[in-house]
Amino acid sequence: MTHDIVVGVDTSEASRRAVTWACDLASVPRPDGWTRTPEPAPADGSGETSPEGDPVSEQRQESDPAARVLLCHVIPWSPFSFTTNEENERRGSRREAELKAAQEQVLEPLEKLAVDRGTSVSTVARHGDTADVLAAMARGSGAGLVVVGRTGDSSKLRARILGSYTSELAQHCPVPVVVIP
Amino acid sequence: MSSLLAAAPVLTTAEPTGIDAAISDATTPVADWITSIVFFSVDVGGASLPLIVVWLIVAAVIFTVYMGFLTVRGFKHAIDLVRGKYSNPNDAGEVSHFQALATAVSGTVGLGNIAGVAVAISLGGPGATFWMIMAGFFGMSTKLVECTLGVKYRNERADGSVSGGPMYYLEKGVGKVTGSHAFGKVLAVAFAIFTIGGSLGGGNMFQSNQATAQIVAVTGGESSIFADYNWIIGVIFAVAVGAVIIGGIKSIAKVTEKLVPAMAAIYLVSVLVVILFNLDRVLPAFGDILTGAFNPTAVAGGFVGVLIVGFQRAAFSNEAGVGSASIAHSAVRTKEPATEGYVSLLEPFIDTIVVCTATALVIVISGAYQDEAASELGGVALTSAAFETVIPWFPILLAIAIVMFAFSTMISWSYYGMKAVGYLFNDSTKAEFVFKIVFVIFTVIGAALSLGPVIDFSDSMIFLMSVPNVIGLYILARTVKRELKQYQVKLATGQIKEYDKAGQVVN
Repeated sequence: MTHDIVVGVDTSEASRRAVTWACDLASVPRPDGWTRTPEPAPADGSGETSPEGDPVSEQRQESDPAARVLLCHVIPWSPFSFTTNEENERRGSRREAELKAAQEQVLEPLEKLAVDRGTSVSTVARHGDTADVLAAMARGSGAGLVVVGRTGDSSKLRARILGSYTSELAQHCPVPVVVIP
Repeated sequence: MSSLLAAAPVLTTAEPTGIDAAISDATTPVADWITSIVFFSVDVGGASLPLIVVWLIVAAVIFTVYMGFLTVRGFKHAIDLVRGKYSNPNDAGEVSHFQALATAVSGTVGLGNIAGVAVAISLGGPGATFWMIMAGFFGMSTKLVECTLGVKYRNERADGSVSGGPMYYLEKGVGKVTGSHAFGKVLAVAFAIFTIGGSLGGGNMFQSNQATAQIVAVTGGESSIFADYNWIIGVIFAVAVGAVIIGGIKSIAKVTEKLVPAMAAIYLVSVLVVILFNLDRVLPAFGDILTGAFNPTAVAGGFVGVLIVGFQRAAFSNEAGVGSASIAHSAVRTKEPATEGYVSLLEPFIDTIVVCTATALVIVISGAYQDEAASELGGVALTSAAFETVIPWFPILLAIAIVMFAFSTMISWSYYGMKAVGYLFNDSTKAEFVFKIVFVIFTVIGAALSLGPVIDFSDSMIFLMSVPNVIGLYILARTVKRELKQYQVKLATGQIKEYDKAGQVVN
């Protein structure tokens, strides 16, 4: 397990606060000797990180042991929902469009926020159940912490009826979960 | 869906008058003529055997043997696929196996499972159930073959949308295997034309007719305010269907897609309730079904007669060999066409073996079929009477279920018809639009017509689809076998990855 942090994000204000908080934490020196060396933001600064972590960044950890932040946006989707033939026919192209919109409207602004704070950041958008995907991301990336905003996009009523994904996440996540108010 | 109740009473409405009569008179002779050709029958031991039923059953048995009873061996794998055990989390957001299956099933589950079974039992006794189950079992193989092909030869357009189904495998697949593109094209065009007919007939007129009859029945039968104005109910249906397929009003389709599974669940729960109330009669009922299958009493044609009745209803109910499901299944995103073959084998299982058997059990244990008056009712009324013995308010629930099933079947078949038009006219949106208009007009016609001609025409067109389709399936059977073989090798050698709940590879 690393000091990397997975942040579950959407378009809410709480998500911005969660990203800021995670970036601040990532820059804090660790008792086990990890210190953050501030570095200029990488030129490309974007792109998806494979959850397993790539060899390049493994190497970098020795010289630059900054904790990294993975911004993850989950598009609600269930493989067990009922659909019509017409929806099925266009599902492939709609999926692409949804991923593109998530990247542009949700992830890029928050990524910029993190980059501005000098954090080493990557982004990923994925379809599925919010709690399940965030827990899987934490497991897959070896991150040591998951950070989410409290309210999210869903309304109070919805949360009352369906339960909030944050409490569900807390129950299933293999690593500690921080909920930012 | 379709149930197709050739030469058997389902729900009969009063003789049409006024506008209903005018519509009926104009179309009946045409329907009669087509029917006489498609349902050419031979006499076997006193029972009339339509050759088209032989055509479907023989194909189903041959494919079952040729694929080495894969429907039995691969059953667990099919369920694992639907559960998503082999779905890569990176593909999340694409059409899942479950969704493809559910869409196809919602097009087939319906009146056939409610009315068709009742017809079979009132004509052939409890033993007909056994032969329905057998036919459903063999039909699983036909589905497996046609749905594998649907995915293998589908067209993927630049925008990422997909079109598949018999039109495409008949043209591309048969064209390649026989070396005669023209032959493949002829089969494909014939299939597309029959699909348009099936879409307008069994997928539309029959549905609106039966739903209308059911509405009239629960609102007071001949004294119903709708009794002489069936076409008004038809217009209401047409507006609802039009709103979805022309107006693109997604909310209506969405509501239907959610309600149909709920209706199916309520239906099966009702079956369980009836069974629980009659636990002591369940074993004797199975006994009746088994002895009736081989030693029927008082059935025209005896053993052969009951076998024909059972086979016919099953073929009508699960559409194996008709090719419709192949259109629905080809939208799934998979690298392996074989996976969709496996998944689709569950369709006749759910439709015929589970749901039809459930209905049959209720009818047999309630004893409703033995009641002279009830067996004269036939169709929906018999099923309704059987449930009523335990659940008095069931007829109303059944009426709602029938309207929902009918509506979702109309939406599904409008899509199949539209894809056939799209194939014939090069995906022309103009042609597809014209088809949609014609489709809603036929919804009204179906409601206004008397039942006989509607059923005959509906059956004819849907069964005609199986002629070019099954010819193609024979020609492409070796291709399918190879496709399945290479998939099984990949599966055995671990090239097909299995994922756990957290999205991690487990093997």
